[in-house]
Amino acid sequence: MGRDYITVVTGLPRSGTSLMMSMLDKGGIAPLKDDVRTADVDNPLGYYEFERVKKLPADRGWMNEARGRAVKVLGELMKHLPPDYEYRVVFMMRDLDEIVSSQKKMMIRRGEDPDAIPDDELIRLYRTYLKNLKGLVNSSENMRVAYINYNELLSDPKESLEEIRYLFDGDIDADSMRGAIDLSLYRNRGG
Amino acid sequence: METVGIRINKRIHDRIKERLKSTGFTSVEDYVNYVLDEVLSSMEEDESEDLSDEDQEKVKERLRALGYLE
Repeated sequence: MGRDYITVVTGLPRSGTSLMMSMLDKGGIAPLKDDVRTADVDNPLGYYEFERVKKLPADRGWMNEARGRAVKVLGELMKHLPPDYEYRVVFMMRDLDEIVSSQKKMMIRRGEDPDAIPDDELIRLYRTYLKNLKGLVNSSENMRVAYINYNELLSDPKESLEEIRYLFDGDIDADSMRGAIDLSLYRNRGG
Repeated sequence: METVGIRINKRIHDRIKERLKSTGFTSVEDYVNYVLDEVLSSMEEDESEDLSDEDQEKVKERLRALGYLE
């Protein structure tokens, strides 16, 4: 029987959502993506994004297409996912110092001011933001979730892969997923 | 990363050293750092209040600047 749910990968930008999308792809869940945002130095393997997701909640016409596939949904847009679908959510977590540091490098490359918000303040905001987001996901009856720590995924993926296998009731190729982990990308991203 | 020295009870040190055998950690120092970070993060998360409208807008502006939000 095929998957009738939508697999959602969410988290903050630079928390490893693209890596997880590529891992799920290797594991047997095809990504819903459009390649509008192409690979660059920040995401050498591509962003695995589907632009129409950004138009939630106005545009939900793509939702049926997402059934049985994996789609990246920024945390901010999770609240707009329609309740009439079932979701398996892979929620990426990462050390917030690393996230902020990585985001700042990306902002410099995009010509944005990386210091528009002081690091300490941004980390405080993100901490609360993630708490609220977890609350939303945990209280949604149509969502099952696995919280995956990016740092642990890279240093010792065994437990993370077990959690992912559990999320998908074993219906995923965890060994192939492990093969998608490329530590050199992590080093290039400067931690 | 900058570090500072700190003293801990030897009994705790020995218990951690014993525990290392069943973890991926290779030093007591790394393990203590990890555990304290986890505990503090959890406490800070519990203590944090909801974001004000202004704070929410700051987060959204950041996401827009990164190209993840329209």
